[in-house]
Amino acid sequence: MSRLKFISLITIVLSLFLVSCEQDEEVFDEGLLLGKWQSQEGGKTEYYRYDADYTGVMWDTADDVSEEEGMPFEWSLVSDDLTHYHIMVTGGHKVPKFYVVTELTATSLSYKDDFNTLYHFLKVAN
Amino acid sequence: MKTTFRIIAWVLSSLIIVAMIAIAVLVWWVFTPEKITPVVQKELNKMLTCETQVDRVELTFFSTFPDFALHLHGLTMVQPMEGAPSDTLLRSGSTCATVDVMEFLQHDAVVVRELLLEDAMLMLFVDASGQANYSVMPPSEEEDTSAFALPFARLEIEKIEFNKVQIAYHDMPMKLAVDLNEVNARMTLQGKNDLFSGRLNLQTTSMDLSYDSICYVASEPARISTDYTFDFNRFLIGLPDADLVLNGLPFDLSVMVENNTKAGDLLMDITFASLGSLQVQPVLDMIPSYFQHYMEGISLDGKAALKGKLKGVVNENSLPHFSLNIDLDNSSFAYEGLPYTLREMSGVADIVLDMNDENSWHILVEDFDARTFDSHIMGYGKVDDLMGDMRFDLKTKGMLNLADATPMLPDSMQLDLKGIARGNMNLQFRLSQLMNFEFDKIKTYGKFHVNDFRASYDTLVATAGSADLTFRLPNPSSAKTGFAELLLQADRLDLQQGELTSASMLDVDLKVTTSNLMDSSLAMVVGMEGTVNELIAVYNDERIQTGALKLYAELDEVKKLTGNSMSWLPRGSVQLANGRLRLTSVPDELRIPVIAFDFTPDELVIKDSRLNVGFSDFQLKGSLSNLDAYLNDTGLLKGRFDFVSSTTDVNYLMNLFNGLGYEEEELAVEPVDVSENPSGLQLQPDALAGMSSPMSGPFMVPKGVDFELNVRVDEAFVSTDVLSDVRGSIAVKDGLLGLESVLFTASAARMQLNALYHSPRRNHLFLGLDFHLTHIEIEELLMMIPDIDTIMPMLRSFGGRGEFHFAAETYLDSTYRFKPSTIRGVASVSGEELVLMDGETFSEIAKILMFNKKTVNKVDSLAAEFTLFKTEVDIYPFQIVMDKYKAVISGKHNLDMNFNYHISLTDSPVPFAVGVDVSGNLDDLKIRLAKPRYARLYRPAQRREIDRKQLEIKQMIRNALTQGLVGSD
Repeated sequence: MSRLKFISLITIVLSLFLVSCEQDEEVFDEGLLLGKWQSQEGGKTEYYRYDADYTGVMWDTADDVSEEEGMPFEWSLVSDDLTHYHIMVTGGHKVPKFYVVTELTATSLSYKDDFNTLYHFLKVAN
Repeated sequence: MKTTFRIIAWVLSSLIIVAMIAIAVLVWWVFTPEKITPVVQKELNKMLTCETQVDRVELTFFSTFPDFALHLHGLTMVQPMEGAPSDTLLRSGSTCATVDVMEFLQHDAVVVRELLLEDAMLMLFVDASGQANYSVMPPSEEEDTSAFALPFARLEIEKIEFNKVQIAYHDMPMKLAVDLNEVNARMTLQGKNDLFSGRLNLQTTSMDLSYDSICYVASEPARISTDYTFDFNRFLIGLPDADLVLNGLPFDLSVMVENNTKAGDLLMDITFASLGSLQVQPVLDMIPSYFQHYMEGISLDGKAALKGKLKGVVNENSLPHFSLNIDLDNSSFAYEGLPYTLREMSGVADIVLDMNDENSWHILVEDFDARTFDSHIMGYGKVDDLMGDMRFDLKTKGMLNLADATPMLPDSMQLDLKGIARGNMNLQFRLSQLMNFEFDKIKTYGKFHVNDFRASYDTLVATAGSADLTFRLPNPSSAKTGFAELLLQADRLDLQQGELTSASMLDVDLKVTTSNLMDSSLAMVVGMEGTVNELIAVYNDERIQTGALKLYAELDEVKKLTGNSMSWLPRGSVQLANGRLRLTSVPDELRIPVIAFDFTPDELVIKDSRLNVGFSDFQLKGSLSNLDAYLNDTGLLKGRFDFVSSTTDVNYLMNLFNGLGYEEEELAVEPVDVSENPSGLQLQPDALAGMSSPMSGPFMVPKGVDFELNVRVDEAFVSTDVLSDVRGSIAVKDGLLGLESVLFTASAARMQLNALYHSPRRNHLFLGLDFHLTHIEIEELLMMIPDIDTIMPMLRSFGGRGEFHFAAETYLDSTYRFKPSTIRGVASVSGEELVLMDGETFSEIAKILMFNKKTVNKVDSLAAEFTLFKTEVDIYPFQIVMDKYKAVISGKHNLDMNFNYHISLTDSPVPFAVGVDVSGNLDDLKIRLAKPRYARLYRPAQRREIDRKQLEIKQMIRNALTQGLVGSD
């Protein structure tokens, strides 16, 4: 087997392996995301509100922040990729946060980040 | 001889006796009253045209020896004329004439030894046509055009005596009426041709004199002693040196009156003078009733010497001039309605009345001197328009006790004045203006030196030991403040309002002008201009002291106030030097070496200033505007200033303005739970000292203001740092504090900072920073901003110079602790030729990554981007190049210092990919070989969208952070 054939074979095998290792992406209904969600971590004081115009606010009452004072963000849900773009007042910068949704129902939301930290929410208002 | 004499004596005696017997026979038996009365009656009727009646005629000799006398008893002459007060021309109880018959026989002279008239009434009347009722002689058949001449050589009446005679002379053409009651008079008369003269002594209990229906003398007792002349042809009467006593007042009198019947003129030249000073009151009593109303309300007493003159022609078209000189002495004067009584009054006044022209009537006052209350007034002047609204033009000087001015002020003006003023004052006014307090029409100029001045108005008191005061009404130099001008010069002027406010001014030179102060319906305008060499003003515990102060101001009163608008609109300028301001809200004295500013109702323009407070010194130029809207809560107070300083203590200045414009409840301290601080982040404690005080809490950005400061500061104290060469713009706008492109040097690094701080409430404070440091030693960066070490702990491992860009924001609680859920940030760090400082960690990682042992811990280049969300720090993949090795690092860590990094070796002499995971915390670091997450010769990952986005975001962060960086290379 020539060296070129060997490299080609390895490449094909690896390609097949890699493709086959890719999990199928789950598709979630972004309409279920709309509404007010309460974090179930810690003191359960953190809230996210997803609005239909792909904006939202988050706040933590433990920090003496009300919904009206909530921090704005933009969001997108593509398949199971949930992205938050937290909007900064200063310079209009956006701070992105990437998550993978693992569960989204009418009442429950779970997602995890790159380092597999899991976040779980329950819907408290539509 | 003796015999001869005896014979002659006997003969003469016999003759005399015979003659006496003959005379007795004639008188007693021949010319008895019964016989001669009809004869006389008959002759009188023949001689006179008027109706004449005599009751009894008596011829006497012995009682009038040696002359014969004819007594007429009950003589009545009636000459009715229309318009005459009485038909009777003469009614006499007894008339007696003693005639020297021998003189008449021998010398053709009529010598009347005595002519007596008793209990008589003589009514002389001339009607409008000139017909006189005393023209009782029958007219001659031919008109006699010759001059009057006596029909005999001489007429002499040695004595004419009136006893209880009423005399009246009414002359219609002359409009003259004279009535004398109970006249007792004695006169002599010598006449030759047409000229008569003699002496007259006359006394009447009551004299009335009217001219043109105006009574000038009313029922006054009079007595006159005088020589007189009378030219019959010229009808010229002269009393050259008469002594007249009128109403008990003695006068010297000189009269020259000529009735020029041809021309119809009556020529008068009458002078009179009182003998010495007379009591004023009897003189006033003699003022004709026609003129009495001029004296209404006037009280005048004392002594006065009078001199007068009535001179001129009286005819249809002309009247004489009258002048009266009054020399007052030790008199008093009061006028009803005037709050002053003049006393010890002396002076000379000339009353000049041209009867032909009332408008020219005037009074000249010379050497007037009087006292009123405690004031002494001297002066002279002129009063005219006497028949109308009298006009005064007075030049006065004197000593005024200012307390005496109080009655002249309107009741509504509660002004209390004290002090002694010496100087002069010119006044021009009309009586009505004075009575009606129409000071806007009164012309006044005064210049006074005032001692012990004190004026109090409401709670305001002004005092001056010595001052020069000049005032002028109206003020000719300004139409707007044309009412009055006041110049004040004083070595020292003190003002006090209540017990809390006071001001002292030294070397005051002040000019104040005003519009009409007396008409409260008009909006007032007050102008002020002047200098003060030193000013010390205190309000409660607030105090200002200045050096030289120059002020120009105009204040316009606003009658219709709206909202909180100012009731006075100020315009002007102020210059002062060496000012020192002590305010309770400022711990240190504010020193003002110099300041010059202009002000309008809506704007304050600081043209130049030098200010020092605490350790700060600065120059401020610019404008403060929109004052009206600010006061009406409809707009922000705008300020645009250039702030130039060599040293500025920012902490100090922030404390000064902390909480300005907030309600008390907004500043109320809220209980804050400080037990938890999950982020572990807090502004440096020392910074709190600068940005707040224990009592005031956090720094609350002033509200209601819109200030922009273009800053240039050589050295600024911020928190515990010292910033040098600070340039940029600082804005404060209604609760927001912004720093825009502020460049400064700290720890030898040049930095640019954009920042935003606002304080919606005490426990919710927003802080946003956009921070750029170029060419900074990483070690210094970490020292300067220790929080960077928390966000990017890996930086601690690098040494060298780098570039740092950081944008972050968070809300803080009232103790400046970060609220973790609100933390957002992006950062970019880059550097070249860095050195890895952490040898142990590097060695362990290098061992796993199979670095060559000879590899130096030198990083050729570094370019990393971070994001900060809550307590999470995401490190986007970045590459470091060391020698022949290239590695890509990414990961995340938490602000609690738990981290999870991955390093992939993407280019190295090693023929395969190697990766390492670094996790745990600094105390328990786990370094493990791992599958490389980034392939050799790393390129953007294809596998997941997230990788592509991360790369885009990396670029976006860098671009956004470095965009607009001032001075970036």
